[in-house]
Amino acid sequence: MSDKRDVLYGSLGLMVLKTLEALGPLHGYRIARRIEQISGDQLALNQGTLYPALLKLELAGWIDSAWAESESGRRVKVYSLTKAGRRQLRSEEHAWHQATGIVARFFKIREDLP
Amino acid sequence: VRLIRRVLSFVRSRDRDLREEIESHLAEAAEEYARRGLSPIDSMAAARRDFGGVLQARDAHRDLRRGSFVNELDKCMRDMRHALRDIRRHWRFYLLTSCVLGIGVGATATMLALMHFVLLRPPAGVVDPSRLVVVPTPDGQFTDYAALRSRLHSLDLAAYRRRAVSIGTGRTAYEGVIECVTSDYFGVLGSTAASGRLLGGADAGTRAGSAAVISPSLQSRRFAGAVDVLGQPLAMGGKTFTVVGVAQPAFTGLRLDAPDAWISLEGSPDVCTSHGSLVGGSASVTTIGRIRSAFTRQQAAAEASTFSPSSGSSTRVGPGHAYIELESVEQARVASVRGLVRVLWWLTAGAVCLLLIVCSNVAGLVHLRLLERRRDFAVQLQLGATRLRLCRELAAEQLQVVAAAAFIGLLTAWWLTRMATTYLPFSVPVALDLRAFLAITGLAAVAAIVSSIVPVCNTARLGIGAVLRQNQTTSTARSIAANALLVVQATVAFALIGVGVLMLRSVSLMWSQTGYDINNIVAISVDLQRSGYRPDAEVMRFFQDLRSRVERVPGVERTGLSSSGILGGPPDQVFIGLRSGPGGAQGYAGMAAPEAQAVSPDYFSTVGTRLLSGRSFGALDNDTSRAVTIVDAELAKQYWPRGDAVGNCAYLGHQPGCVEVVGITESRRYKWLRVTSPEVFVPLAQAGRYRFSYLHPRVVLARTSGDPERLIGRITEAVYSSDAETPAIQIGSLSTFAGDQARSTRLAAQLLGVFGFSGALMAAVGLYAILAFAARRRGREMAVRVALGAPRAAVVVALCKSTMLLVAAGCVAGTVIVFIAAHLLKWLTFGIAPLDPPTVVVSAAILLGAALAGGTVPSYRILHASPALLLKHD
Repeated sequence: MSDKRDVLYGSLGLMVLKTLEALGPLHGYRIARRIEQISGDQLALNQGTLYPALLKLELAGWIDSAWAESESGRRVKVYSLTKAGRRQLRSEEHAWHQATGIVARFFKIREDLP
Repeated sequence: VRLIRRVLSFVRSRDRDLREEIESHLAEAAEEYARRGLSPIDSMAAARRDFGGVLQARDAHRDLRRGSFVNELDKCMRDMRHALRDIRRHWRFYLLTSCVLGIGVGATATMLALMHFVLLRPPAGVVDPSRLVVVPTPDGQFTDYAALRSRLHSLDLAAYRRRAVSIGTGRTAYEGVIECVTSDYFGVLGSTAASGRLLGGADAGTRAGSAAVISPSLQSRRFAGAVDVLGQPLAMGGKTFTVVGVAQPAFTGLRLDAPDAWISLEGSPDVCTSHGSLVGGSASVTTIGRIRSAFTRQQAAAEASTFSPSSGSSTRVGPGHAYIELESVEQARVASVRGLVRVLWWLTAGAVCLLLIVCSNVAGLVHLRLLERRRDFAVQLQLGATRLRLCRELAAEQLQVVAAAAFIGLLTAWWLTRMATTYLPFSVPVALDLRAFLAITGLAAVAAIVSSIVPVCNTARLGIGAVLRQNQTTSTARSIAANALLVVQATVAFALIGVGVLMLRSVSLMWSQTGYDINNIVAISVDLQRSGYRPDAEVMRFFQDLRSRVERVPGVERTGLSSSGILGGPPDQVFIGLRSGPGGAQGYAGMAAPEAQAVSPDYFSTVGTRLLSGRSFGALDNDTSRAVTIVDAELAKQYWPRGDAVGNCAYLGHQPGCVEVVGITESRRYKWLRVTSPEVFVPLAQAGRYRFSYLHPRVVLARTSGDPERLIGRITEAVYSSDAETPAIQIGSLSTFAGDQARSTRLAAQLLGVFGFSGALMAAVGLYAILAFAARRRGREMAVRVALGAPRAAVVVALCKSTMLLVAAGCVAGTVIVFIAAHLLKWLTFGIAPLDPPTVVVSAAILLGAALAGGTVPSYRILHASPALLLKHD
């Protein structure tokens, strides 16, 4: 049995946005590989699910796409972060930290709490 | 924006794109596995395993796309339905807004269509009109054209002239316009025929037979639209032509109005010129040229200057020499209707003013409506609705209003275009420019949507607490802005009404101060000179017979004979020198020679021209009696300033003998409705003494007891009752001829009248919005006043007073604008002082009346509502 973990529900979009912010415009395969590499190959990302997620982000206006040529000379669709996407990333990042902070507090519960 | 993005995504991101994207994904992944040492088959298998289900990915992608699009569409429909419900509830308000917007859009679109038609439309059926120029020649004669043609290398030359001739014979004959063209005319223009052929070199010889190309309008008029008209005979100007072709429907030559037919100038000089020859002073032509491809306009101008050292406005003095400037045919075409262009500029300015009033009014109305809904917006925003959501709802509402306005605008534009086409002297109907219409509608939509979104943004900015607490008060700055807007609206509306009234008065004055009765006269001009089959001796007998036949028509009161028509008729006139003594000067400097007319004794009583002193001609003023004459008041005053014209001697033309002045008539506007022209009358019985070819009877004038238009048919029957081939060139009432002359003024009057009326309507609507707004704003104050016992009428007066004062201020400012406009429009407003009291009074009455009507609804509400209700409403 693999020790890889599934992508947490709703977090794939955030990962894509953060990857595009950090690494600039990338095509679908590169995004998938980067997400896997950044997770230290701990995530079991079903790469096919990436494309509906990319479409969702594009429809929301957070990323933009254009056809270009990859390093190997293939015609690929390259995705890039828009201004609205950058704003959205900031707000989601803040919300994520807040949520994980709250959950982390629960793990620190000690019996001697008032 | 999101909807558009989603629609584009739905349309663009097709399955094919996704398939290609997935394929390149798998290829990239396989390549990476191959680099790690896997075989090609294993690499691809590993890549597919990592990717997961390709079909599932495609399905999920497609569902997302479709779902997003359908979802947006559904939201849109929901917004539309919601807006429609609100529109149904307040249909009166929305109908008013749509009508206001529609009238403005329609008026502006019409004016843009007219401007496009006259100024911007290139000549139809002409190849590359930008290389066609008008070539000025020294005397503008055919001989100049012929001389230039063989010399110029940079231009292909052609020439044409227009002429009014009788078309057809017998009772179906009418006066039409033909264009006499040189053999290379159609070649230079690059035109083609709709059927048959156009004129060419073979038609230039006088022995070549007489070929004619007809316009489609003549085809339908003369041949009842028959398709097979080629080879048919057609009488024009007393000569029979053979139809060899039909021009393209939109082809109008190089003018804005199309002639009835084109014939060869070289082949038919007898029809094209008054003296039947192309040599001499009667063959003036317009010479045009197409610049050959190897030359520029400057080179062509320089070459033309070498051979044609012209003078006048087309000449420019260059460094060291004078050179002529070649005007393009498009410029010449517009220049030929300069008066109309000026009218159109004024009308466009009026339409733009109207659109501005409309947009400000719509903004005011929408603002007023949304103020009532501000609390709803605040609550909705508080409950979680986004600002975008509310704006979408309002935009959907405004879009439906604009759609209705566009429909009303189309109807308005259709009606106005039809009206304008009636008054324009062009045979081609004016078509509405759909792009301009859509652009104006788009502008109106933007104005409506922006004015609806602003209150939502304000509400969101203020927050629910502020909005709910707010006591409907507005800032002083906003009140000042609203008041200023009202004054500007009232000013522009007054100016539109004022100029419209000025024009209408001008038309009515034109009709009433002509010096003859314009309403009850029918003129019958008979072209005996051109028919050439009656010797001069028979002319008088023919006319006496014709006159007695016309007199017998029931409804004709009396008739008179004349050698000239009024406001039309035979084109050739007789100008005669006049001296007040044997050695006296022939008139004063700058004064035109008077036109001589030979008239029968009962002419003056027939046309209703008053004799100011002396007597009319009588039966005793015949060929054997002493020569007598009647002059008009203008001539009498200038030649005999002491007022002793009657009984004095006048010397006419080269006649050595003295002619006794026996009477003075009032000055008449007999040639042009706008200006008086000097006239000298001699008795028909003595006309032979002056030996002028056109001083014999040519026109029968009949005074009718009722509407002359109804008698035209019977009079036409009477004219042809003895000779079916009588070449009558014109039978019509003077009011019809006057209507033709006053087309530009009437177009301006009618359209400015419509704009003025619409402006008044807009002002009423604007005032309604402002008063209704004030009534809402001051509702609590009104309620308290009424509750404390103040008479309701006094409360209404207090509410309306300041607003009516603003409208009055607009009237004063508008009067100044009308005064300035009247000065600038002096050439159009005949005989009316710029500060015309009736115009000011009528305009002020219309505007104040409209303003009062606009204020009625809010005042009525205050008068009939209980104070408790007003407080509660507030």
